[in-house]
Amino acid sequence: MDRDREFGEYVDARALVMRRTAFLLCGDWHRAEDIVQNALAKLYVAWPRVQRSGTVDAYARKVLVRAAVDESRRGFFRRERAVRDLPDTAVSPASPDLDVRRALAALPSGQRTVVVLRYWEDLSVGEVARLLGRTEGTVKSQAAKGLAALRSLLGDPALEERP
Amino acid sequence: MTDIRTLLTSALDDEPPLGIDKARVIGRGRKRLHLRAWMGAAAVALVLAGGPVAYHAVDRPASWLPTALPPAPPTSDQHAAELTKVLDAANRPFTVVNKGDHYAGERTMVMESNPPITITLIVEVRWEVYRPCDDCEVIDLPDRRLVVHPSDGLRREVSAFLPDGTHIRVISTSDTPRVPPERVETLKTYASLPGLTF
Repeated sequence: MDRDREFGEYVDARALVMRRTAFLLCGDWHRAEDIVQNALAKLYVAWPRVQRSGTVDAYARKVLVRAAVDESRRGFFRRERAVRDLPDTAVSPASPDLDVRRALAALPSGQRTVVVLRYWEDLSVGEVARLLGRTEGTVKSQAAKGLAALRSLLGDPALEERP
Repeated sequence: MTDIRTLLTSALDDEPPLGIDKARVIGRGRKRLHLRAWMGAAAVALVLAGGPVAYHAVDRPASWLPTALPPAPPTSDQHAAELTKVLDAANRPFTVVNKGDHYAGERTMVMESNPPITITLIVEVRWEVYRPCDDCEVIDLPDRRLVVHPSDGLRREVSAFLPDGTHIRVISTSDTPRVPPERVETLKTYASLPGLTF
């Protein structure tokens, strides 16, 4: 079947990259695979349409990001450890052993998503805004705040936006 | 000076081998296709049949809901334990407590963030008569009336009124608009669980 063959070739070519993006969005390799599989299943349904319109990558990115956002919102009782009381101390903003992953995890989900799309997926502010259904101003603001937070968390004031 | 992309790439250092099974993904995609086709056909059939489910944009009294109730049956720790079992059986682990005039179970989730974000989910089982609610969405199911309350983004609530006088309240709150409370669909699922009766 052409659909399965073409879709299979796309999965072979893109699944790894999609999983990396999903990992940066959620911070867990297993959840990243789940997110990618969900996104790919949705892509399969829309395959003839998006292929005809030449928007396969854009659609794949859209369903991936939405799957990641949805996954982060729902079913947190199944995913996270519930605690009875609030921790005594908040995350230290300048902890020296805070690595990139923990720094990303400490970002609010909106900022994290924008940072990943903007600087990992290399999308323009306009593209990110369209993808997330936000204004360009919001995207710019969240990207700036996200970078500032990463600089602060990682203790790297020289962290730059572009090479 | 570190480039942000290089920094993000360093987060992928311990990347495990790809475990995505292409055949399985295609299988899931096919299932979705079939499900969509089936749902479409079912929706058409439901509309043609008049549908057992009635959606109202405006709240109206339901004739099958009691307008007055006898005194509430006494609450008991034993029944609280039974309600806990009902939630456990639905894979929704809650410890329901006898609160004297009602039963309640609460889960609090603290998400690691700076500052930490707290999200709560509360399930209450009460003995209360149905009262119309302004601005609520009302959904009549065959065995209960669901009432979806307006949300301010930090609090969501879905109630269920049963003909036997049971009123189930499912409430989720978040302490920040950045992370919304549990979805209305999730709250509806709780409010529709069979066996949650006063």
